[in-house]
Amino acid sequence: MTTFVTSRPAVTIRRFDHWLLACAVSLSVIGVAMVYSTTWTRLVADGDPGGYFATRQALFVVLGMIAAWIVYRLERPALIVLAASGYGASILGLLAVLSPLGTTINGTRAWLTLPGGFTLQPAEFAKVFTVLLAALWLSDRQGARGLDDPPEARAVLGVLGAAGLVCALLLLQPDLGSAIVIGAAVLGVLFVAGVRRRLLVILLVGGAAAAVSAYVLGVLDAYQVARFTAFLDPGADPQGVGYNVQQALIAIGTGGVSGQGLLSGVHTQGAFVPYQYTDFIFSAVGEELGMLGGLLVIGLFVGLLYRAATAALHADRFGALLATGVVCWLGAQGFENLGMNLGLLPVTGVPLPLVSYGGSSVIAAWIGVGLVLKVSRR
Amino acid sequence: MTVDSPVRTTPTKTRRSPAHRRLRLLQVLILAVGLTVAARLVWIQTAQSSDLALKAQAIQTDLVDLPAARGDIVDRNGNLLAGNRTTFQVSADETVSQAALQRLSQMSSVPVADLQARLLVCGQPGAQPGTCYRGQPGEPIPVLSDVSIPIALSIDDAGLPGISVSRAAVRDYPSKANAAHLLGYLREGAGQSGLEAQYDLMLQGEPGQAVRELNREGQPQRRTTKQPVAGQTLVTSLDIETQKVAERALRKAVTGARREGYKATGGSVVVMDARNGQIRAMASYPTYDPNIWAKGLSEAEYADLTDKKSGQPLVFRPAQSVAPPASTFKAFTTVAASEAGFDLNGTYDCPALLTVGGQTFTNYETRAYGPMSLARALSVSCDTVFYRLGYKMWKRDGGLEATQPEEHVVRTARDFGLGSTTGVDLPGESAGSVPDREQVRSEFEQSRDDYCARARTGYPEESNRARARLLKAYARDYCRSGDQYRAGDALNTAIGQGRSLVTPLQLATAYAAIANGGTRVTPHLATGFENGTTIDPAPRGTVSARPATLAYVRRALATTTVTGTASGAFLGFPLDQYPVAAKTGTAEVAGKQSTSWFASFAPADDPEYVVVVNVDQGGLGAATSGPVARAVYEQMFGIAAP
Repeated sequence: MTTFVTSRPAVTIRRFDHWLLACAVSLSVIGVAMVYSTTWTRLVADGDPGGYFATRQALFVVLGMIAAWIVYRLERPALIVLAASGYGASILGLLAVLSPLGTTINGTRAWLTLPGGFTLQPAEFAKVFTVLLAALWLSDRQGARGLDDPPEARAVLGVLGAAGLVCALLLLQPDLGSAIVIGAAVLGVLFVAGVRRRLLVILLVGGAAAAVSAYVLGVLDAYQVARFTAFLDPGADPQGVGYNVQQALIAIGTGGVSGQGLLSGVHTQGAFVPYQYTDFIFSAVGEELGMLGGLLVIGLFVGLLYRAATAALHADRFGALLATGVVCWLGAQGFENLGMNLGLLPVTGVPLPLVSYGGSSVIAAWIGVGLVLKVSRR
Repeated sequence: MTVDSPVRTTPTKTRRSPAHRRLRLLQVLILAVGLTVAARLVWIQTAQSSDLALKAQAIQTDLVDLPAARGDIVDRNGNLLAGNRTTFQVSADETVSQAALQRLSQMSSVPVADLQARLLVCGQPGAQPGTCYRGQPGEPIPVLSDVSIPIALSIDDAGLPGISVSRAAVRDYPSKANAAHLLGYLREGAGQSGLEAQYDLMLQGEPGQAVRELNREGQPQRRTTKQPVAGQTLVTSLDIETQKVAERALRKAVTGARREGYKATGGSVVVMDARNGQIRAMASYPTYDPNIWAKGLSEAEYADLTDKKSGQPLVFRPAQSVAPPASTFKAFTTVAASEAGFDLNGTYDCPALLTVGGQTFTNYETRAYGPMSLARALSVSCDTVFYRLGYKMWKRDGGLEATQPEEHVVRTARDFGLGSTTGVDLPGESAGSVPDREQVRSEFEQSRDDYCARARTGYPEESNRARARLLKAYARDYCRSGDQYRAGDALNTAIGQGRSLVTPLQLATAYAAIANGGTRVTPHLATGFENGTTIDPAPRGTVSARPATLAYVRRALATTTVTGTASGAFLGFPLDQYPVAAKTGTAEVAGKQSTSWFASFAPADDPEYVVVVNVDQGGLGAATSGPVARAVYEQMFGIAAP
């Protein structure tokens, strides 16, 4: 029976997990619709074409899908080249944003300006390439090592070094949210790869201690501290960071079961929620698409992660680690985003993968989706 | 599992492998966090939804009052007395820059500091009560009002950021008549005095309401939910022409009296329909420009309006200042004497002086007329005749030891409404007083201790030593016998001197009762609203005097302008056509120049109008106040002044 299952021809015909792809496409479609709804009113009020941001977002999704298809097609040697060059380019990009080439938006120096009104956020690409690099490094170079074998110590050190470098550069921007996401993704990969618990505990405690000391020593910027205190007490600064969370909660709270409809949310169309087409897009989902729309987005997101984790279960060591990395990356980022929209977590300024507006974020997430689809292939 | 075995082994093996357990744990974690987030979403959208919806409404919408146009005030012929004028107003919102204010200051020649002072919301640190903003927060704050059209246009053209030019209605008193006290004024859109305050509710109308929907950038969209209802037009009985003449004649009388050396601190004119109490005109001097309130007063300007030195122009003298009625009171003493049983057709002696209880009471200018009728005594205003009447009535009441006094004089005066408010439709009316024996006693109980203390200590703070001595003597006297209603008190009361204090309006209603056969009308200015509502206040009652007595007094007063004290003032007036009944008065107040009174009605045989004039410290009644009344009659009867 079991032998029969593994040798079933149908399995080889099914090239990848369709459910996984369906979840990703649905999230992207909802994302384009929400970007349209959250930007239309203001664009029209300013005399601009109302579909400007939505069209661009759709373009990003298409570019992301092409990138996903490319990585889906790549074999291990090509992936190694991609990981090395992608990681290297990401490091260069992260250095470049700190140089005079970088652009500061909302207190964070995270963007490179490209021709044609586009900007590039290297942090988003750093996430996917760090995850890919870690999965490659921790799996056997000959592909012979099993999933239950402990990883080589040198590989673990290498991965920690690579991730540490990225995180250090991210904290200089400062982009605490992305650093946490990469930390979570690498920790997840190490956990599944079977490193000793003690090391994980040390890494977790060390990370927490670093965060606390950064807070105590005042290394963090004032806005980061403010975001955290605003999380603890949203009423503390109703005009500042607390305002953002309050407005998001109000928008979601007025959505009701079926929502006020696209382009019809009073709070969303009145643009009361700052960053409502990027980091706070879920507040618009909550108001305009209501509880049903919100649960659908959460469900699609959970479905995407769950199917990716399922793919990991059935993959070889490299595939399992890669899928785990993508799951932990998208999961940490997505749940952090949903959490801050719903007032559960402090505001750290990370986008909702596949949904929030942003070319780098959308393309990077779709590369992640492409990699997981590749892993799901049997 | 061996090193060589591929991961894709049998599912039974997969379930046992620790790596797969870790991946299962990851899946459980995904589901758990997903469920948590979903539960939070559901909780916010159900349990929290009503709270958050309230917050949303508070943020997204704002109720705005839409002002209703205030009703006009017109005179009996529809002439506009108070209306609304459209002006240009310049407002600034919170985004206004210092540079824009500088530029605005240059264009309007108003100092920047003044503009900034008006931008402060009342209650903010540094906000001045006179200039700070009292309106709804969030609305643009008016910084310049009543801006001339060219300046308004140039400010609008300049397109300064945060500065807007809009039209605003300002209360306007356009008539050539002043009537400042009658009309009153507004502050923050609400009537503060005069008719504006008395009929505020009807004039105001009902403000409408609009819901303002906001967004984060503050671009409001208005939706009117209730249309404003304009205020009603108030129709008054005033006649703008009569009002003008009364004001001009009073001003002339005051300046004339001043030229003759009198202080003439102020004066009143009351012109009333004797039959129903409708006020035709009322003038008060000094006065002020009713339009000054619209622009906003400075502290100094307000002080000027209330200062004693400037004559307290805010005081509406016809209804708010009191003075002894002097000889105008003799009409009521005559009625009282008749009620007390004295013969109206008898003969009464008018000596130059009268000695009562060792005290000598003299006729005015100590002139003796000899025996005469009571009517003649009224006409020539013989004091000694009324002294004697007052003394006799006091004696009859029992003098000092009166047990059940009839107090005919005081009772009659009160019956005619003297010493109490008339009920005129203006706020802040004074009651005055006509004290009887009981009141004298109770006042004594209240103030005895003060006077007795003064009787011992004197008045060391008084710089004039002669005056201090006089005051001390009075205090000693009062402390000893202030509760006694002595013969002197009765005599003084009989000729309207002493303790009695009345307002010109009271005197006018009392004379109206004589004129109209005994009805105590309620004086009023408003006769109705444009919507058809009429205002016709019921009379306050009927006097108890017999109609024959009143007819006798009317006939007697009619001779005053012919052969009596007012014959000089009415020389050349067509009295055969328009007989005028009148009584002059010259009130003496200790330490002050005499107050000039003139109470009259006409035509004497079928009275239509009552005209009462007084000038504080203005000299003789006939000489100072008489011509004012004459000018008013000339206007009303259409007589060309000679």
